[in-house]
Amino acid sequence: MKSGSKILTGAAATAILALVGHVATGETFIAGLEQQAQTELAARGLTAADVSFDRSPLSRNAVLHGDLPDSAKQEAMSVVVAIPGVSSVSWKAEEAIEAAKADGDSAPASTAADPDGVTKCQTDVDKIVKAKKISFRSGSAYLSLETRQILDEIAKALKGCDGLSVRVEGHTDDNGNSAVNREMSQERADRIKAALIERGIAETQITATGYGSTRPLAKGSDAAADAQNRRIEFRIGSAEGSAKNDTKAPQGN
Amino acid sequence: MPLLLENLLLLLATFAIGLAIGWLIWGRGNDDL
Repeated sequence: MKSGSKILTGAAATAILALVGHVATGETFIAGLEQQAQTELAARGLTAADVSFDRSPLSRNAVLHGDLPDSAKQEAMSVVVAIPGVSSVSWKAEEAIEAAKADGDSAPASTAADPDGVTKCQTDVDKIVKAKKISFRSGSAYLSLETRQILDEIAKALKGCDGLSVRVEGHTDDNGNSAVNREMSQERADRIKAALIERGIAETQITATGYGSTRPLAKGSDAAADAQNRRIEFRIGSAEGSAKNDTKAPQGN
Repeated sequence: MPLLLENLLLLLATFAIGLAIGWLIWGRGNDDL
């Protein structure tokens, strides 16, 4: 074999190695960065800021979004960019959301700002979860009869949302070990996901993420705040982007 | 920059450095043998 072709073969083998490594660890690596960024933001009380990373293609560029004053945006960006592994940070242009606001908040399903019906689906689901809260007992991922009935309604609402992605987010209160809390929130989100799949929602449409106690709704650690923080949120997104890039609507209580 | 491109460039750079070191150690002296 000539030395030129040896080098080319070596380069090709290296490239394949890079590809395999990327496929095996890339997503986990970015998810880890995302989790870390969320934890850092929550630790500084910037819970209104949401952070995500580009997934297609995967990149180390963090995209922040949320309704914050400019000074808080600057702080959030400097917090995230300081995390080792994050290459750059940008603030998501929220044209679609702003356009909807400019239209007077009454924009129904198929307006220019909501071509996929994302907002409509999100609103439908929000109405259900605001009226009846999905709640869990402390330390439990058990779905009560009441929760199952709420899930029936949510599944019915999601039937009209074919092709949209649904992210189920599990949250816990801040009692106990944070690693255990994260596992618990993941288990709760997984249970909800499984229940929705049982009710006829396509598995490919749903993702389940557990955030542990990193994104509390209520400050403090009294029983009322804890109950408020143990919750499930649903985020609907367009088919291409993941749900996190789109309208955020936490559960009401 | 996409993560895949970063990974590729990093490993290819490592490969190139390895080649260069290999050439410095073993490649250059062959003419004298």
